[in-house]
Amino acid sequence: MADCLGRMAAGEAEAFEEIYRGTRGAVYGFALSLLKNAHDAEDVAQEVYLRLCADPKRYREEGKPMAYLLRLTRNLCYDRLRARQLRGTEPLLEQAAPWADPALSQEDRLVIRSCLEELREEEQRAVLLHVLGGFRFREIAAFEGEPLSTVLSRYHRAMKKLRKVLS
Amino acid sequence: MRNRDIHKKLRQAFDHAAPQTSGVTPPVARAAVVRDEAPKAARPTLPRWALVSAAAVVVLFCVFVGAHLMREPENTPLQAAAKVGDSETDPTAAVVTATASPIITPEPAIVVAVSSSATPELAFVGEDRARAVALEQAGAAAEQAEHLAVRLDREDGRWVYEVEFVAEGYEYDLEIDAETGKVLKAEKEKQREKKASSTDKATPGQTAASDTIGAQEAKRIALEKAGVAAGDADGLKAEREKEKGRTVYEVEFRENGIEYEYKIDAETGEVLSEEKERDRDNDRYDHDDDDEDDD
Repeated sequence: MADCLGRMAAGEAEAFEEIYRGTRGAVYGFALSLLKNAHDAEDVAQEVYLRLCADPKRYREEGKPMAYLLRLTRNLCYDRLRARQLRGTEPLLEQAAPWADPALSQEDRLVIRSCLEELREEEQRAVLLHVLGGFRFREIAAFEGEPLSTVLSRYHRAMKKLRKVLS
Repeated sequence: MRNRDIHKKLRQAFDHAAPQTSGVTPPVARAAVVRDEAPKAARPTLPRWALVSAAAVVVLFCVFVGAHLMREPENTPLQAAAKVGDSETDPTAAVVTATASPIITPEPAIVVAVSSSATPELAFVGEDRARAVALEQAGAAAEQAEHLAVRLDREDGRWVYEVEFVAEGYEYDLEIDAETGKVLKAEKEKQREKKASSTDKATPGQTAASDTIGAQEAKRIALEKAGVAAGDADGLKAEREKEKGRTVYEVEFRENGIEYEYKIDAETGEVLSEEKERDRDNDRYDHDDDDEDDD
C-alpha cells in the first residue's frame, strides 16, 4: 500500500482507487463500530480519504499506512462522539441501523449485526483491527494501550460468540 | 466454523457495506515528473480487468493465427506467384517466397497473476505445526500459553504463520515460514501493564544521564543475553530512548545471520524485550538462542 500511496502522490488516480478498494471495509467498519450509525460512518470514511488525498505522505510519520488510516478514523469518530455529547443524546429513531441496508445480502447483514450487537465494543475493535485492519495483536495492544493478553482474550471471546451465531 | 471462515465473512460483509465509491477526487499531479504529461493526462483510465481481457484476446488471436499459418499453406497467392515465376533458374526466388509469407511467432500465453487472496494452503505446514514450532521456540508448554492466536498472512512476499500468545509474564510474537515451518522472527517482551487512567499524572522529570547504566553496559547486557561475544557482533549499537516515561537503551547487532534487538532498562539494566529475526539473505537459523527468563 505504501507503493500505492507513492503513486497516488504522483497524481495517479488509479492508485487512489486501489487504496480505496483495499481499505474501505476496514475504515468504514471501524467507524461503524465506534459510531453505531451508517450515515455518520460514511461521513467519517469520506473525511478520512479526503485527508489522505490532501497529504498522502503523512502516513510516514505514523508508520504503516493502514495504521495511519485507522488512527485517523478513530480520531474523527471521537470528535463526532464528543460533538454528539455536547448536543445531547441523539434520538434513537434518527439513527440508521448499519445492517438495515437492503442492498446487502442476508448473510452480510447477519454478520454485521452479529459483530455490532453480540460483541462488546472492545471485542469489536479487537476483531475489526485484526481481521479488517490486518493488525497483529501486539499492534492492537499498542494502538489501544492495552496488554497483549487482554487483546488476545477479547479476540478469542469474540470469535467464540461469532462462531456460535454464524454457524 | 474455523476462525478463517469467520474472518472471510467479516471482510466480505464490511467491504460490501462500505460505500463502493469514495466520493473523493484525488488531486492531479502538479509537478511534471515524467515526460509526455499531456498524453498521459489524456490517457483513458480503463479498469484493469478490461486491459487484461483485451491483452488476453490479442494473445489468443496471435496464437490462433500463428497456428493457422504454421500449417503447410496450399496455393497461397505468394506460392502461386513463385510457381509462375522461373524458380528453376533462380533458387533465391523460393527463399524470397518462403520468407515473404508473414510468419507470426506465437506469443507465450500471458500468465494471469493469481489473486493475492488465493492461498495454496495444501502446500503449507498447517496451523498446528506452526503453533508447535512457536511454542518450542519460546520454550513454553501448550498449557502455559494463554490466548494463543495463529494467522496465515503474507509478509515481504512470502506466506507466514503469525503466532502470538502470552506465557509466564511474557508476550510472544513469532513468524513461522508457512512452507518450511522455520522460525523467521521471534519477539519476546515483558508483559505490559494496563494503561494508567487519564486521571493519573505522568511521572515528571527525566532520568539524568549519570543515573543510567550507560550504553556500554547496555551493550554488554544484550550480548550476554544473546550469548554472543562482542567480537562476533556486527553493527553493534545502542541508542538511548524514552518510552512510556522510562529511559531505555535499544541495542542492535547481527551475528551468524540473525538480527538481534534488545530493550534494556537504562536505570536497572533489566532486559525488557528481546527480538531475533533471521536475516532474509541467510537461510541458516541458530536454534541455540536462549529464550528462557533471565531472572
